[in-house]
Amino acid sequence: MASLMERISEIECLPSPSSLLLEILILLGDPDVDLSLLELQVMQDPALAMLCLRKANSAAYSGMAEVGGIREAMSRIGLSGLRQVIIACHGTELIEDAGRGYGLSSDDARRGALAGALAAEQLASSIGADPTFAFTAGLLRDCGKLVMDELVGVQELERDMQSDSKDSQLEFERRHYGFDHAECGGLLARIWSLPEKVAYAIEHHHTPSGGQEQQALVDCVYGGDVVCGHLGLGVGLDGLAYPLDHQAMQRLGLDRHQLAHLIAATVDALSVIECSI
Amino acid sequence: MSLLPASNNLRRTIGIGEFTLTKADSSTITTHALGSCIGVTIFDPVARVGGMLHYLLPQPSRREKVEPSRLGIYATTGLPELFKQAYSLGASKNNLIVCVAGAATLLADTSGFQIGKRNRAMLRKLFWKNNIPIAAEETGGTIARTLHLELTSGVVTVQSKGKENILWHP
Repeated sequence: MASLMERISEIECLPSPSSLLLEILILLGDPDVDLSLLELQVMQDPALAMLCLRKANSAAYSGMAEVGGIREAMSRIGLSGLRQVIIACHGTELIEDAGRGYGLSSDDARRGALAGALAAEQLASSIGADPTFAFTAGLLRDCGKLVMDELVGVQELERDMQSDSKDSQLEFERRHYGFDHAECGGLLARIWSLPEKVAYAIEHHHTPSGGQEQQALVDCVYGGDVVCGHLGLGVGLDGLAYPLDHQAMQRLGLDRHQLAHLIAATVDALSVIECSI
Repeated sequence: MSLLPASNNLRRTIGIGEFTLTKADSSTITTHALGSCIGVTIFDPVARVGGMLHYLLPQPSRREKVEPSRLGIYATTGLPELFKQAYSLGASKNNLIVCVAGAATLLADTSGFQIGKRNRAMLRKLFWKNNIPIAAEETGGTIARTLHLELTSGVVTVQSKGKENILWHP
């Protein structure tokens, strides 16, 4: 019998990230990245280059001289600004179709992905983890729902999830289908050749205390998902049926006041990024 | 907050931490993504004033000075503002029909987090202090909800798990 990895590999209609996006995401993960390498990558994508220039010359940098070169533009907007531009261009395209069987529209999936990425990034900055990997894993954490839609079927998922269940969603999926969307997401991320730590964080984003590797990164992505649950972003028929992991919240240093602050800050950050793209 | 001009047959959507009010309008106000957040609808059938708030949290931190654009984020700032604006449009407290939805909770959230429960507790406290009855309510559980208020009739509906329930009708 084919393994889950083989079954996922055989799905023909799954989106895949461009090699350019992957290379740029890996470069962005290096805080000492050589900007000339990034410039070369960005220059290969005219839409990306144009958005970099547009952002560098936007009202946010009013009073500064106009820039005409890509490297100058990248220096001005910084790695964080560049990441936002890349998302505008390519990132959310990957997950817009994730979760049709979970009752999610493209807009629900996109907003849930962005909000989770922004919250995970903020958490990473606050606990000293890598914000770029946290952002990427937070953005793509539910990519396994793309696989669920294909392997289980959109209508079947919708029908099954409309029944009342007291189970956690992951237990429900494992019992009904033999696998869950987090596991599928980790495998898909490996098929996409995303960095292993990102794939691992995606795989464990609902079970942060189950693994010992990449603990800080996994916790940040988990925290981003909790924030989205509270905000109802990217939440479909599965609802909030995911257990709260108190140990992970403790490791993240989140008490109820800090969680409230993070939720409000994520709404603000989402509003800013949605305006900019 | 936004004060909407009257319109016909339009669907208006309010986002997280926002609220809106309108008078003599025949559109439908909707808010999506009610997780642990709470959506509150108010409707005065006599003055034909209706509105909706989608708040995230019970109250701001002690240090936070809430800017006018962020009043809708908290129950303690959003609810008073919603009612104040409704009264300024001619709504009467005695006529107001108030409905509530949201306040879901993550599984196993037995700790001090419980944002959904605290959101609901703060709402009930504020309504009790101000003698405002709730006409209909659908809160709690682990499901996300979408809330609609039809301004022609005052009908309030809640969508969750792919189903739509009428929460209140005349």
